[in-house]
Amino acid sequence: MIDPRGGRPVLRETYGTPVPAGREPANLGDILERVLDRGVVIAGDIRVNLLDIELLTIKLRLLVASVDTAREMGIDWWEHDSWLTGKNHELIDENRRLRERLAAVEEVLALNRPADAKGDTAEQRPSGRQERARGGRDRD
Amino acid sequence: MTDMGTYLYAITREEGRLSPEAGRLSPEGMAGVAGTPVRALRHSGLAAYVTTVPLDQFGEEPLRRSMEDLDWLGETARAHHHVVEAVAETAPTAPVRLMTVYSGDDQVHDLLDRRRDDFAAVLSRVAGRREWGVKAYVAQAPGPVSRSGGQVGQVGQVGQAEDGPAATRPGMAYLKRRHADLRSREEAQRQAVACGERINAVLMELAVAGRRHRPQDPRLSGRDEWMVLNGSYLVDDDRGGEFAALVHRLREEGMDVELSGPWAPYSFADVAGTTDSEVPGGVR
Amino acid sequence: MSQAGDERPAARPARWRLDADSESVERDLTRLVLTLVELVRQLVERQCVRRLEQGDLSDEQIETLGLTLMRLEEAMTDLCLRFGLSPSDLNLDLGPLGTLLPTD
Repeated sequence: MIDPRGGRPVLRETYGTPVPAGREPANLGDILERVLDRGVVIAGDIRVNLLDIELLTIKLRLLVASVDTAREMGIDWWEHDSWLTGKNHELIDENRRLRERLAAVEEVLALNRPADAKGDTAEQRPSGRQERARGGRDRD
Repeated sequence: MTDMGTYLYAITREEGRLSPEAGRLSPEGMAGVAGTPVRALRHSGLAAYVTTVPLDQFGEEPLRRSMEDLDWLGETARAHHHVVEAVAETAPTAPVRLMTVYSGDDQVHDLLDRRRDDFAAVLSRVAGRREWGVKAYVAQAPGPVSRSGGQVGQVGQVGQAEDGPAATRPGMAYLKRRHADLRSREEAQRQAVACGERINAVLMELAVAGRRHRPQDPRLSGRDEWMVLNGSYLVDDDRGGEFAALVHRLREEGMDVELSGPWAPYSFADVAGTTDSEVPGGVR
Repeated sequence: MSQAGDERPAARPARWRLDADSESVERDLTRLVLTLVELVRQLVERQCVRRLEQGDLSDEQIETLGLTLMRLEEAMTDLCLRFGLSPSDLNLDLGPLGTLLPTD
């Protein structure tokens, strides 16, 4: 039968789409999925560490052409939100709590200054909107 | 001039050092990312496979930019993977994620010192075993008519699907059709999940361990079908053939299953036994 | 608009690139708006289906709701056609959260 131990694995193939004999599985997607997502995670020891957040960015890059637009418009919160990576549940919860409180505070502020909030709309200053989007993100 | 960093690919036991006659198989000297030659740092009973990389390419800021370059990323990922595979052919290996860069060899030594026990645990878990990837697909539910199908909005056509009242009550016909769509989609989803579970259960009988990953995006898998299983299975080397045959059998039974591997144990190399990194599988 | 990106080049060099092409900005904005509308439309539709299941709606109500939803869908189809958008264009991928709308 098949013996994968013998030097080079015999069965290095994807059923249905046979890969030409070689040590490289042809599917770059599979490789990326593995080298980006898995393997030992030694955060904290790493000087240049692309943690989950960055990996997420890459994944989005890879998979989601449609989101580029949103990002260009300044909507890219998911790239930076560590809770989206689902790694640290305490952090997630804490972040969510903070976020909720922040939102509540902002709501109160906005209620207190309705005229102010309206003055800076997109029609008048397109770039102003960008600035605000940016500012909002920075507070995160 | 340029600051240099140490790029880490994989970690093995030091006793994995090769005998002279096997020397030509050694990953040392092979080309790593950006064509840099692979070295082995031996320390604390472990060996770390590294290359020296220029930080103007592999520093945090340059990487941020170049990781968005798919060609560059693909090339680099293949190079990384290549080294990991080569190392894994020689000894039990803990692969390290792409783009793990240290400021120098000292930092890697330090890492090997501090994490020696963790690495030892990982290495003994994966020793004599390899990872196989299995993906299973289910055809998208045939029934549901979506907006993308372009069959909506044509009232006359909608009516034909129903019996009678549609002509006079197109609104009701529409809602009922929607109802049926949603129902059948839910049902199809349930069946798909069950199918994934079943296959996983069968595979787990042979595997030492298994991890289920998030289904790949169709744009990554290149297939429109539902990915109901995206699993990695740690299988004893001497059962690899059996495992492949098992997948083959599933295929013959009519299941749409893809096998890839064997891989270096990418999915089973988390340090400190953090087994909770399992991603819930199935269909969203 | 590109100025907004240039003002703080040191702080965020790579991240804040704005497309200065006003046409594409308009198209993108349209897409974003349509995405939100479609999300709401689908939510309402599901709610209606749920109510239909519960059986507490009169035939008249069902007919009215159904007609409205049907027309809304037609309108969405039209709008998408006009702006050259496909349904998948309206479906943002939220990474680990999946997609905004269900994929068929």
